[in-house]
Amino acid sequence: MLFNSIDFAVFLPTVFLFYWLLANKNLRLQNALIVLASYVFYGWWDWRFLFLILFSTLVDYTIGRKLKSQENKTKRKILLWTSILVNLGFLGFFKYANFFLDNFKSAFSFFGSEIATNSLSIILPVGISFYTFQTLSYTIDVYKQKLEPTKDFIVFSAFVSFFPQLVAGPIERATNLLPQFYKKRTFDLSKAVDGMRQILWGLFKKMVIADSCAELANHIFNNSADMNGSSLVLGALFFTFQIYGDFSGYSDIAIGTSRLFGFNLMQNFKFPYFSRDIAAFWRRWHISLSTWFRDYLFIPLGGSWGGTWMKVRNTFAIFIVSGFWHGANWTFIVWGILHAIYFLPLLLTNKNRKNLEIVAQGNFLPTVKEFLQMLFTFTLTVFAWIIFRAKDITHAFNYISGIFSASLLEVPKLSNPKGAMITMLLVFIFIFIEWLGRESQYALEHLGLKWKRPLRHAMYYTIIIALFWFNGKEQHFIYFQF
Amino acid sequence: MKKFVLRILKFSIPALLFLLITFTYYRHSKTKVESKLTAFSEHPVLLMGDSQIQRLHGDSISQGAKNLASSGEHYYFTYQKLHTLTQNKNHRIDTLILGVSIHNFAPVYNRLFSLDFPEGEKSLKKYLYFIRMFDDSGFITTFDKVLKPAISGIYTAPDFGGFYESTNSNPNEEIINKAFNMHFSIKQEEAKFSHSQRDYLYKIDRLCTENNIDLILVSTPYHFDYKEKIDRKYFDFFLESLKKLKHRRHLNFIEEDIADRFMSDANHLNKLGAKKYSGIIGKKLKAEKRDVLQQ
Repeated sequence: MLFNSIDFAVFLPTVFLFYWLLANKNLRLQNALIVLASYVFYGWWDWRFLFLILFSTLVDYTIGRKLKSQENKTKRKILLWTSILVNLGFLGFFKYANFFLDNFKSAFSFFGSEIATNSLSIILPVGISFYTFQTLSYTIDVYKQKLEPTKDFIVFSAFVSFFPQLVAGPIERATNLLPQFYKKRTFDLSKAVDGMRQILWGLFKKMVIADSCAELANHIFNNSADMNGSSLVLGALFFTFQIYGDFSGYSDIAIGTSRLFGFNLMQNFKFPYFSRDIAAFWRRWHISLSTWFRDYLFIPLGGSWGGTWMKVRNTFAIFIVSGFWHGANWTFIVWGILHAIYFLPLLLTNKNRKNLEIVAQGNFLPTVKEFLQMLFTFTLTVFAWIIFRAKDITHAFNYISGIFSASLLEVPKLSNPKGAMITMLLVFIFIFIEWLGRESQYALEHLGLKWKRPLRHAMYYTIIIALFWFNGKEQHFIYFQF
Repeated sequence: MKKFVLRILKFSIPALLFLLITFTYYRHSKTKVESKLTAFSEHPVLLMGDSQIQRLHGDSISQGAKNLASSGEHYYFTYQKLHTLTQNKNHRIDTLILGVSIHNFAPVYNRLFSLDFPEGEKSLKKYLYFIRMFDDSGFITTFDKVLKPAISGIYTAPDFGGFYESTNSNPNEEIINKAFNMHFSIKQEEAKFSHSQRDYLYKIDRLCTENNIDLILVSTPYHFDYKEKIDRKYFDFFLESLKKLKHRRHLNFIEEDIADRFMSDANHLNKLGAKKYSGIIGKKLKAEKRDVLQQ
């Protein structure tokens, strides 16, 4: 079920009313309702894959229980690796089987021997990368004795399948989300109102910004061979805002929806395009994934404490794995490598923690230096997104070559110039609002809160009208495929 | 919780009011549209179809004939208009002159009949008052794609169609290419032929039979260069489609070699061409003693 669909517009209030009116006095009933609602939510897409979630839930619940009673170190390790292999095994099969098969085939044919294999017809279960990482974090934390394993299967099922963040995150840590299922949840008016506001802003980001940019970006990327340099630059910029609006919009809706049910999810985006260096960008972009890799991969590998070689190795490892997590394509791996190259000089010169605070905090405008730093970081990011969005490496190479040609100074050739102008205007308004709200959890959190109610409501209505009037055709969320 | 629900309801009041006003306005306008169509059903001869037929003089064909053709009109909307017209039990429609041509089965008509395309949204906006929402046509299938063009359509004057005169003549290559690309290029993944056009052409055929309306198909001329560009498969599809009609009376001028001075662009007659061919069609009908008013 998509957040931006009529189905969800009916589903959410129905579950909400059942949750607070019928199940209000019984915590177990509330949790059971969350599990039921989550399974309906996921099964709406394809009910067959519910068995996969159920199986994954059963495996990690059982292993968690066994880890509690097991003191033998070897046996504990075996249990941990069973969980890792089962979870990554599913992920590997559904997501990466064809990638490895095709690459083996290419490698063999490179050395002169042809092997006859056909690509497997595999449907990628939506959100598999997200819930796999979430359950893995539970088992690893239980193994490391950072977390008490749960005895309650319903609670654990709710944690794995919690519908607001099931298919595209934020990837929650068991240490944050699991305890919330044990606490009695009472309705909090201000939290619910704030949740609604965040949902509204998330929908704006997705339906107005991302979907409008998607139409233009898709057209330019799909016809890049016929485009001049300036059009290709515009295509890259449109994709930059598409992916941000799409993914951070999803996170906002997920967090806002969770707040309606009394839950607090972690912040997943902190205005990443206002970062002053790449290290800051990675502290602000898809935070739940980057911190996951930091805690479960980078630090166990030795982090940045070792010598130069270790720093280089670990940095490349985390960025390559992060790229590969996005999908079975070399473009994602190269995108990861490129970010590692961006990040490494900062790490080696100990400047990776230089820009921790919010840019121009307390001021309306940034300094010239801050502005140039943001512009430089943004340019690096846009460049990397070209590789991320391209069909394959050749496409990315041709796209970038097309930009650095004489046609860069020509007037952009767009199929729908009026649509492009409107989208650009909307993106400017969006950047302005995001800039104003950059000190909050999300741009709209405090915006206009001191205004009188009619004025504030007029602002919300303007956003609602924009949702209907400027929404693009693209409906699916990019991160569903990851 | 109660307070929250009340707040949501209070916040929704302006939206609900807007919807109520919109719905009332829609009902009011729909009644007006239906009564106007009822008045059109008093005409014994109607000209319907897309912009090609829009260029013909009704009066030159038959006295009192009414031209209801409109630019880019998919047969689905023609069918819906005709359906409303024939709902009037006292209608006097005796003859329907329907434009039918090769480009009517081109990919552009798939776009005009799908809300996935801006062309389809435009269709909904133009013809909203003539259709029944959520019928089994396959045009409106989901609520989410409908809202914007539908609200916009409610507050837009419906397109009843009517005679349109073109003053341009001797079209150049650029104009012809533009029309050809608009009609025959496949923009996304739409099908090569418009099967929905064929389906609704047959429905119009059946509706005419049920209501004792004489259906005469008219294909006005094409510019030679435009005709040359069209894939033969479209000619075959066009002729094949017409074979299955019950009413086979077809005045076909497509194969005629026409001087450029009669054409406004690739597929439309100009003022001069309209005068010439309206006269020819009128004479042919009179010769066959089909002029209703003379009977």
